[in-house]
Amino acid sequence: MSGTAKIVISSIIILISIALGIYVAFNSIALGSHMSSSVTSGSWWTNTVVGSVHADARTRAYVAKIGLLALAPEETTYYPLYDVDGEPISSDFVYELRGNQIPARWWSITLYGEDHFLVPNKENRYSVKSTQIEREVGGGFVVYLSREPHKGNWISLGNAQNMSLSLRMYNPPPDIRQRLDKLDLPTIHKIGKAL
Amino acid sequence: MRFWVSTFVLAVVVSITSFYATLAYIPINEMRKAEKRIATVAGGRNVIRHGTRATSKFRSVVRPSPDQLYSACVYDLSDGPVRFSGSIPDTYWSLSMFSHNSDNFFVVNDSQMEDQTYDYVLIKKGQRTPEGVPVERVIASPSKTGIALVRIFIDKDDRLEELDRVQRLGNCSSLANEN
Repeated sequence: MSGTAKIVISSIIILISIALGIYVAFNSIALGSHMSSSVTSGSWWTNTVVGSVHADARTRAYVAKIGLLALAPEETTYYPLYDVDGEPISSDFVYELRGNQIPARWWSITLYGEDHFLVPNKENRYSVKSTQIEREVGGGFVVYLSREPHKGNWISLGNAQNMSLSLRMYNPPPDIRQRLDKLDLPTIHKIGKAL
Repeated sequence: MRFWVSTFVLAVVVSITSFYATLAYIPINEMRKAEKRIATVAGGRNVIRHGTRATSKFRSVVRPSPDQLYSACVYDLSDGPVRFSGSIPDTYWSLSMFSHNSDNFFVVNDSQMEDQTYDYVLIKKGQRTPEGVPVERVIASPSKTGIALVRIFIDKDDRLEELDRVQRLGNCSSLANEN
């Protein structure tokens, strides 16, 4: 093989290698729940080093893409939820979310569209929070997620598809990091089709 | 044969380097974009921007909380320390700092504060602490630029106007401009 041919082949292989590294890097942060520092709790998952100076390169890159300016876990624990029984959240259905006491100074549950921004709806009903949620006699709560307004605690699904939820727990108890996968977090189920 | 072995080794090294370089670049690039957006609406760096309650029209930073009021300031320590001051409401409040690679290197919340006001000075790690500033009020940033964020929890929707007034007392300015 001539010297010129070797240089051409080496250059092509180097360019392919650079492209491969970039592709694998973006692909590796596509699924945050699959990271080594991630912990699941029912349908929710969280990452133990989000926002922290101890975050590894993949977690830092992932958070920068879908949760820039997230606080370190000591201040706030974030639990996203991307599917219900394996399917993405869709405005074609009605969902019921049931929860009890969530260990935090205050918490909120917010719905996001596929683009990670709030879902447009004429009622501006994007979230529920601990300080204003209507509770049942035993202290539990039920939240309905649907396209049409619903009695009680309600989050509008607008006309969107492929949505996700975020549970934010502010000032959680100090020992929470040891039991992130054992918390009694809300459960969510599809209860019917949209009208 | 030697050519192919050395090319293969080179390809592996380049792929791994490219992988880690991309991962390191993503947060820095996202921060750069966010800094540009925030500084543009604020009217520059070391200027605070008090945001209104997030709605679906809000497009500055992904996954905003509609239950909080955010004030953001892109800090730039090129001309020296930057001061952050304001009032603290009787609901959750926090002041947090994010370095140029998006790390949350500092956060303080209302339950850790003794007064209803705050006054912090941000310096670059290694810079001299400004005279007359108590050491517990000095924060050291690992990078020259970054974003400071004030969060106020809207605990009751009917308190929005009152909390908005407290939010607007927050300030961010270069100490060089004060002297």
